[in-house]
Amino acid sequence: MRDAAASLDTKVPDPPRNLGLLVDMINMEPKSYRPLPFLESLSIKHAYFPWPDGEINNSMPVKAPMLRYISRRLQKTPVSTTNTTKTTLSPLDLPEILELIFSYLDNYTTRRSAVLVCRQWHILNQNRLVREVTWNQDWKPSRKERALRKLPGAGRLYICHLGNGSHFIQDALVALLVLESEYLKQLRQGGSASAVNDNSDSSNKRTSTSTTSPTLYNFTPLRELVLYTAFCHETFIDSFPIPSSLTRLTIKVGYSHHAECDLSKILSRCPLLEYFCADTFGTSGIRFQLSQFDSTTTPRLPLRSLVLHNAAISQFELEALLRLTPDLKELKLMAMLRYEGEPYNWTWLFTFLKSINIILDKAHFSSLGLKMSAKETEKLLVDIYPYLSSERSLWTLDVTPQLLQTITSQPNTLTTLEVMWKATTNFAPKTCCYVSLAQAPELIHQYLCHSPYFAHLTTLKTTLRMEDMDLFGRSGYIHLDRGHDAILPNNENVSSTPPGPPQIWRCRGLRTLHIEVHAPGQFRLQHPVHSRIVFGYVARVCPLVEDLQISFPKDCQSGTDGHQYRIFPCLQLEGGLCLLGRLRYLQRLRIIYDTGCFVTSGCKEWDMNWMVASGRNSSQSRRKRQKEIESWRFWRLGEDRAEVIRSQTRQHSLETDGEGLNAIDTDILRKLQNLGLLMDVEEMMKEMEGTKGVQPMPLLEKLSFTYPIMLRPEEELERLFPSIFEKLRQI
Amino acid sequence: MTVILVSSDNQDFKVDKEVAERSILIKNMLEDVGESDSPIPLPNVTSAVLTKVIEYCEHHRNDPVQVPEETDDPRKRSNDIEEWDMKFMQVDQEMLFEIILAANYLDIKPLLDVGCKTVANIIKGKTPEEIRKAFNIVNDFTPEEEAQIKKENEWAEDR
Repeated sequence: MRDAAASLDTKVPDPPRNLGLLVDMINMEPKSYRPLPFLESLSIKHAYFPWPDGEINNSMPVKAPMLRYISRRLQKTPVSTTNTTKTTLSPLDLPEILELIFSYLDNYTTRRSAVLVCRQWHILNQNRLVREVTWNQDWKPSRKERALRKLPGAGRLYICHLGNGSHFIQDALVALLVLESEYLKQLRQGGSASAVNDNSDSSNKRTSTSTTSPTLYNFTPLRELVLYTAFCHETFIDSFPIPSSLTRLTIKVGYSHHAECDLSKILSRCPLLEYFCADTFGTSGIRFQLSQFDSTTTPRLPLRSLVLHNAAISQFELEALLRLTPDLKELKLMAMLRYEGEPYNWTWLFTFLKSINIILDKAHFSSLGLKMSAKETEKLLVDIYPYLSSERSLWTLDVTPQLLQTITSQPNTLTTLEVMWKATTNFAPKTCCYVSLAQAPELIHQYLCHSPYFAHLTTLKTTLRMEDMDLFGRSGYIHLDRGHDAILPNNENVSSTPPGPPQIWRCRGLRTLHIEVHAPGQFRLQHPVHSRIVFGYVARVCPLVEDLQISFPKDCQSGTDGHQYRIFPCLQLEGGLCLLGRLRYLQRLRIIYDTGCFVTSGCKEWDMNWMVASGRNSSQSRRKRQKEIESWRFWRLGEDRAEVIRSQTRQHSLETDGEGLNAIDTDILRKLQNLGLLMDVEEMMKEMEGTKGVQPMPLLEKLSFTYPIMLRPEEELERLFPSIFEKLRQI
Repeated sequence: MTVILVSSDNQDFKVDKEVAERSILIKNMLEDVGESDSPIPLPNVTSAVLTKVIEYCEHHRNDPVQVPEETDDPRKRSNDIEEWDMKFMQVDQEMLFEIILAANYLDIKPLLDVGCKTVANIIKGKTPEEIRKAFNIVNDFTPEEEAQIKKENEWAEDR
């Protein structure tokens, strides 16, 4: 205690004249307080000092380490305009509070506004200005060249390689080699990793104009690389010039052909690497090796996160690696493939992790197509689960009511739930998803609707059944679709109302939602009404979502007749994609259809260009949409008639449904009452194109329809619907 | 059990201990001092601001302890302010700043967060000049520096 007090002598300036509570405490009887409690908390807890009220009118407490700085600043630098003199302290004068405010700003505001306000704001925001560069093989040569010119000084690089072979990305590889050479040169010259890049003419020009502070970008080495390759042959990854300055590396592979990767080479080459993720979509996966490690001579590695998805690695070599990564906090081995025919022994791995004192915050262990044994699950619950943070990542085949109960009984509030699933092969004979998925989607849905523990979820990644989103049983409205205008719904289909009141998720504060929608029940996800149900449900139940990904598998197995059938999501106007326009906070939207790039097949430009201002304002597109909606007249009549029939046979109503629900649930249920109906789409279009002109998804920054990288909405729509000039150019 | 808080203008506020302890500063003090009827002077908080702070603490008296959210994205969201908090923060700028300072002084993290989110929302959508005007900030860049930063940021965008 005395040491703490003594150490403060050098840090704290003259005692404030008005000590407030401290004075009172000191004046108390000795028995009523512990010695120097305030100094104890000052030293350890960053407690606050009352501020002298001499030089400024308002007294101001600040954290002790900041005291002198702010004292000087307040005495010397009045924070005011030239016309007025400021007499009170503003929270904007405190760097700590400013930092907190800046942490809530988006990239655009930071880059375009905050850094230009004043020097202090510029300096405090420098670490937030990590520049991203995207290089896409699909782009025109001039654009690719422009992207590579911006590489020096970039903090993050995305490479999207769509061809089969390195020659498609030769120019990107050369640029990376030049960048690496410059980085190594800086290191050799004794500069730190933050040494200035002097290889770029444009950088030199920028530097020369500044006399007071370094330029924003010319000192940052490349720290993060996300490499997507559509096809990965044997040696592609090993021969890729991975920059040695990286701290994060993500490799995503579409389909691999006996691909191999020597992980030890990457880890040796990148001594700062903290995060490594490899994800293969195709089922042949990547086979990892660790040829260069010797646990006696290799220094410890700073790796904090290792994520392998659909990969194979020798358990023996993995354990050798783990001995060198004492800081590891995240270990996810998802849908792992056997290594030389050997299954993974999770029980052994959990024991091993414990023996080397690795305590994980985030973890996942699963083998493709296999369940964990009872012994392995027990060990997982005892050795791994108690130490995890607020995230749980489960393997669909392992999901049982018992396992979910153990999650909800954890003291931590769950904020992230990930339920992984992967078909065992993309080619026939494919795993039967109905059998393979087992009961997980139903159980997860039930828990999301009922358990109070799931109310705090902000991230949810899982597989779901379309029928669980069909709150009012309208999947049967398939006869109302195009081509069936003359057929009115029969009573059999319209009487498929679910027996009880609708069940809605409680996790309505979701920010990230990634779902794969299956339809193993009576109705196949092949008609516009089914897409309307999915989009309409998400738009109303998760109003705060910012990052949304909806995947539709190529095939689905029906649980009723066992047949495998093709899924057809509908992105045309009648499919109700525009219902997602209600998501006011949506920033990233990705729709994935497993068959490849044809998710928008059959769509016209005006079906989708309402997402961007030019498409909403285009009189031609508006006319087309209006005409399309008018053509629904007969379907709407059928829909109305179906609703009347159902209302006569329905056992419960919105009023009775609302019983037992809170006000928010009832409100959402009311908003959902048109779920699945064309009327819902029509109303949404009226909202968008009416006099009010409600902007759909006003914050949308990135968009992808089964494209490996996220593009700006305008770019993605241009890619899907090239303009006439673009089409001519391609011819 | 109740405690008495005394504002800088010597006004007494009798509040439940549970409510007062939303302030970590007061909580630590009470733990250090032990059982005592002595009023707690808060010489840096005026009665008007203390009234607002107590109103906030009363409303959030049963909230669970905030768990820091773990995310790879260092940026946080400012669009998740609860409806009640949003209405609570509908005050003039001077009072907003006073509340932030009081939350900082009293160490009430959720109130500090919601105050900073509100300021962030004010900043969003404004030009640098509008921000300076809104917050009375002097532009201390030279015109050359300002032009350079603007140019660099435009250059950096992936267009």
